[in-house]
Amino acid sequence: MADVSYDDVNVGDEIPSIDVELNQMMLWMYAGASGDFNPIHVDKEFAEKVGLGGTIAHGLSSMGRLGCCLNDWLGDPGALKRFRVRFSAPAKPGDTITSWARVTDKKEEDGKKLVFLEVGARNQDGVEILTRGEALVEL
Amino acid sequence: MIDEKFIGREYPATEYEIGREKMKEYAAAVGDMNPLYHDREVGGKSEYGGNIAPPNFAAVYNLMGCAQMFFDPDLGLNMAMLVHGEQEFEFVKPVKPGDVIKTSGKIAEVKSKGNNDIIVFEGRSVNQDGELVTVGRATFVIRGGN
Repeated sequence: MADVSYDDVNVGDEIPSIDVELNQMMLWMYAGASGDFNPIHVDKEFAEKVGLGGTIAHGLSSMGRLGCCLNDWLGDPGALKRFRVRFSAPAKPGDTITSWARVTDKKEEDGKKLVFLEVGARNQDGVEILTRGEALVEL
Repeated sequence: MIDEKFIGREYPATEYEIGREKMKEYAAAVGDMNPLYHDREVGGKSEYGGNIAPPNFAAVYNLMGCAQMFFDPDLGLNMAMLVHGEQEFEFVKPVKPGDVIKTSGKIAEVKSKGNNDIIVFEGRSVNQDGELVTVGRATFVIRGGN
């Protein structure tokens, strides 16, 4: 059961955003947890050599942090039914990434109470990291 | 340009057993500390009757099959120019520690957009009881075309 009740959700509501300052250790942790050891994420020298100016975070880790923003609000991660993002710009160690979400619609369909959200993430300079994000939750 | 004849090409299913510590490690790596992932008491009292994996743990088990597409000699994808452009997950049913997840993968879409080629990998993950748990669609962009 989610902590949020359908009746209390209104279109336009902004759910609490999360700010995270990234560091290289987080990228290594994600590499270990996911098994993705692509050197652009874990090897600073390599990432510089290929013109990235340093390591970049795994796109899926930014998606995971955005998911955390949703799950913290929901209480019950099982309420998250659909989730999509576009990886628009890289997040890098030293960046502070803000994950956010806003309610765009709610409706009852086949006895299910559904809430639709626009979701995304941006860095400290306002560069959008995750765009065209959408989430569907069932309350 | 990737030939459209590859749309629908299927790859052998991958198998992944959900490990309790591994899913906790994933949750910690993205800072998602919901007790439903790690607290046995909270999990036991929940409607799931036990702990569940973070939804985005699908990034691990649902995407494993991509490697077969990446290194498919018929496709000859230019991996040096390939980036993960978009990701979509449909979470049908939570996965739990001990679940054995089989994911069948196929090429769902191939197209060109400007100078880029786009290829979409669709993974359908089912658990040991044959229940559909997750559908993932991963969009990869080959910058400058394949």
